Amino acid sequence: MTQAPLLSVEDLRTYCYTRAGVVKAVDGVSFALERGDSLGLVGESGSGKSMTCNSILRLLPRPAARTVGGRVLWDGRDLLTLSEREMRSVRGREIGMILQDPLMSLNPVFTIANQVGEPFRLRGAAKSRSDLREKVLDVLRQVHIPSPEARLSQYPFEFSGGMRQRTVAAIALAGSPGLLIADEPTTSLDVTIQDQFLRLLRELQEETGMALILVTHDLGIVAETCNKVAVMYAGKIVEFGDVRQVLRSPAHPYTEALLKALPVPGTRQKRLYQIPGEPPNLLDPPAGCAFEPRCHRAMQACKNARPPIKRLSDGRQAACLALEAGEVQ
Amino acid sequence: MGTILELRDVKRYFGIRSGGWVGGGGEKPLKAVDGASFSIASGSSFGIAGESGSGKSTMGKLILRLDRPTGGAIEFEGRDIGKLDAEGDAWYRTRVQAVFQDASGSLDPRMRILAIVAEPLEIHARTGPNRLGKAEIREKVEDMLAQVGLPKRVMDNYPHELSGGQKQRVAIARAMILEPTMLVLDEPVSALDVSIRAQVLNLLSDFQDRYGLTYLMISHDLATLGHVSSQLAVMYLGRIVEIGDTEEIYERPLHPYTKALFRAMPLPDPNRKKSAPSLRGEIGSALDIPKGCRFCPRCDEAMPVCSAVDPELVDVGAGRQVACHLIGGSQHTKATHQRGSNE
Repeated sequence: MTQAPLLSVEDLRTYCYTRAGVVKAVDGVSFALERGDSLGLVGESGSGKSMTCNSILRLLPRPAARTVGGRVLWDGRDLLTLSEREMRSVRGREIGMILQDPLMSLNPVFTIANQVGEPFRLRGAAKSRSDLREKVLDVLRQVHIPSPEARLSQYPFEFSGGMRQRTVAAIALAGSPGLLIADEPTTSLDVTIQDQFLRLLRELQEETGMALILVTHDLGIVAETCNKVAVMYAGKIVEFGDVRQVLRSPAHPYTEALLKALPVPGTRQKRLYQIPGEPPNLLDPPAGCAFEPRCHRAMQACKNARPPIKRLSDGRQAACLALEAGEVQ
Repeated sequence: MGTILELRDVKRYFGIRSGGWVGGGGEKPLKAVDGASFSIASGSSFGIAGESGSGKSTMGKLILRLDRPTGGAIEFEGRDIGKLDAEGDAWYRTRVQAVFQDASGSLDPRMRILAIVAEPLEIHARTGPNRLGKAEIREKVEDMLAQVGLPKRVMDNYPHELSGGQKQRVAIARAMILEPTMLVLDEPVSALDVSIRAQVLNLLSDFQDRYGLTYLMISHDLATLGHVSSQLAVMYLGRIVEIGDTEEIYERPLHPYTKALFRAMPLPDPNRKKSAPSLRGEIGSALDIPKGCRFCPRCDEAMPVCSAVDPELVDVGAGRQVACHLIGGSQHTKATHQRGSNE
């Protein structure tokens, strides 16, 4: 039986209209997720990873940014064609979201109970006050907030950074979503707290079969949390595949360079491998492959044509002309 | 190699008024740095690791003389920096410079790059015997920008016109323009993208080779510290809990907190099996430091003695010091621990 994937993003295009010109922030992104999958969306700042997520949830800053093409198939529907009202019932209930800075996503003047209870209230999911209280306590326990009863009447400022982020996760989980989109959820957390939070995400996935899109710039986090990875560069996915495959033997020169540029703990190399130059200016991107000016495998052809993303023999996908010419692998 | 910087039992307590809106209540000390001693060899790189609240940035400020210790002494090139007069202060600032995490925050948005990089020269070469003319300053700035890998034309740019990596290069150029002997680097690459991070770290390494600079790098990122530093101190709640040769600490961390930090460090290796959770709970408050060992409430290997007696840094050989009852303690405490862990 062939089943449609849980989420299928096809040729998504989101452009930003600025005074200086049009920025193709998301430029033809396609990927599919199954139930229980966790996809690591990696890339540097400006690569379009957050814009991809915001496009899926239709949370773009308007009118500056607009999705101009593609489809986001979720549960048999194209999210891009839904009315704003229908979309509102998708957000939070079917697809949850966690943002980077938990302080920004919590309201400082409402209690924890109030904020965690909001998704239940909005949906009319609680029969009574005491039922609501139980539901709130349940999700707080699910994200391991210690002694949640005592915490209900507290305000966000009384919580530590790790607890705030777990509270945000509790709110996202309140609707039992089938997919959770987490945009750099641990960037503001300390390593040991980050480790706790990523463990929590894995645990919740195992319990509920929820799929996860984790946006990060840290390949280490991807290796530990995800089973699939999409590497983005200048608005495009340049490599997509199984985490083990991609991290162990990267196909795209950009993925390869990113991995090589990381310091290896415990070995004091004199110099790190460095990727020359800087990411391209998206107002004026290179005519050919966007990575060509920084690429150590660049050929003449790379200057002229944008490489299409192609499936390789081992099942993963990569967008590189050198691969087709058989130069890598 | 001589010692360039030495800290002896340095403390920084902040007085925090407790209770009462207007006056009243008692003063309670917040112990941000609670007795730190170490020395840095000239021309080497020293790393300070720790989470937020560990006191590592306060330590950086004390060394930069942006803040004064409430106890202990800091000696730089043999002079006590707590006892510098105005002239001594000027001397110190030409010797020790800083690069911080957020280059956008440390560069004045209304100054052009030329003015930003030239400012230290203008301040310090204005009074000295080697007063510089405008043309000389411009020439020096040009040369320094070239050394950090920036084109001449950025001199006329404003900070917002540069990328994050370029801004951090400007910050490094400004720190280097007075030809200091030591740089304090507080999270210098944390805000940068991976592909830019390697460039900046290589640049710092080149400068060290070229000028024999001493680095003090403060970071939460053990991978970066491991790459840069030859000596490493791990801080927890104002105390150094482990200090020694970086490579040896990576090979064999001894303090349970250091071990937990390594376990929590995400590595891009999909085959790495994650063992037990790295650490439970969160770092405590420096206002209310746990009795005994301050790491004890989060420690998996805690013994009864840990919640009663504050462990001292003990020499365990090969230049390593650890503050933990499990290590270097008496045979008696070790035996109790073994019994404890079997149960």
